[in-house]
Amino acid sequence: MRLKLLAALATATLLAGCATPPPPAPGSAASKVVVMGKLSNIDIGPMRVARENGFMTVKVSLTNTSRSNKTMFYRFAWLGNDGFPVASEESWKTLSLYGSQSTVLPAIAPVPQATDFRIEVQAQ
Amino acid sequence: MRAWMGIIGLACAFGVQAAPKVAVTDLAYQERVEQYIHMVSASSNSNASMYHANASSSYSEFESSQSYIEQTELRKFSGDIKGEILKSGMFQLVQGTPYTAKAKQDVYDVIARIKAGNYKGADYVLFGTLSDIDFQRDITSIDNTNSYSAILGLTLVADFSLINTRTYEITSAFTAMGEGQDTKLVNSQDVRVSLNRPRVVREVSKELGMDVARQLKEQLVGVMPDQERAPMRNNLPPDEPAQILR
Repeated sequence: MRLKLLAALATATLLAGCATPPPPAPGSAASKVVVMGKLSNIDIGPMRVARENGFMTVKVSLTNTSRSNKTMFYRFAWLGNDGFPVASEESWKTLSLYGSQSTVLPAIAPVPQATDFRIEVQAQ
Repeated sequence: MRAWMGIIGLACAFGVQAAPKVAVTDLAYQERVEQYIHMVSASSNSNASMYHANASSSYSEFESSQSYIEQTELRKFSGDIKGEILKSGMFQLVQGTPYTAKAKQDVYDVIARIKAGNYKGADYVLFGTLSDIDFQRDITSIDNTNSYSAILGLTLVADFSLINTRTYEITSAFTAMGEGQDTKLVNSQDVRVSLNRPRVVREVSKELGMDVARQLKEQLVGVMPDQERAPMRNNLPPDEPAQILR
């Protein structure tokens, strides 16, 4: 009886662990990335965030971890203090990354009201 | 105990010591006034009867051109200067006698005006003279649209000297400027655009007052608050140093 109970408990713990990954820490680089679909072999690294001449500027470093060339789509969403968008939706842009290439994506907020951002990415 | 009373008395005496009194003049200026008079008077008179007729006509013409230099004071822009000086708390204000057409002295001869008793009770006179005043009215087209922007701007520059009424020493001197403009977006279908002139005048007056108070404080106290050193442009939020998110 005790064995059955232990087995059930272990299964429940395993299932709970597999259900959803823990959310990224607020303020971290991972919390700014919204992956649409599956993004494999592209590593989104540190981000530089500053306010220059009144406008928010962002630089996102990207690395292609595979040896083959990759194409990805991205766009930035600019948010205000309340977490809602302060500018109209940007169009999707393409970025080609050669095998093992690292690059930096620069972006400037279109309005000074932007205080936060999200980078939306999707792979081909 | 006595020492304490003495210290408290001294502190009270310093506390009661009032700020120096200053009189702010209106902005003095002179301009050339030209008059042209052309008068024509003509009359004719005739009468006739059966045996008698007479007619008379007269014509006279008078032409004169006169030009003279008029000295006066611009009464419009000193209100905000007084307001900003009061706000700074450095001076008490005293009203001086304004310069009118009846005055016999030269408007620029401030020493004669002080001696004539125009600024009774004032320790200092802030004497302002108008350097330049210019209204601009522009219409500029906006690229890739059928709109225009109509701009009415006013810029005023004046010279100021703070003069001690007893020693005639100039304690501080500077040039201050006030700028204001009203802009309207105009479509080609708009028939008539009227720009807000009073608002422009008020903006100029306010800016001039603030500039005067700022420069007075800078020259007399020698310190400028940090936020005044770098005025905010376009109401943009201040820059923030870069941070790296990982």
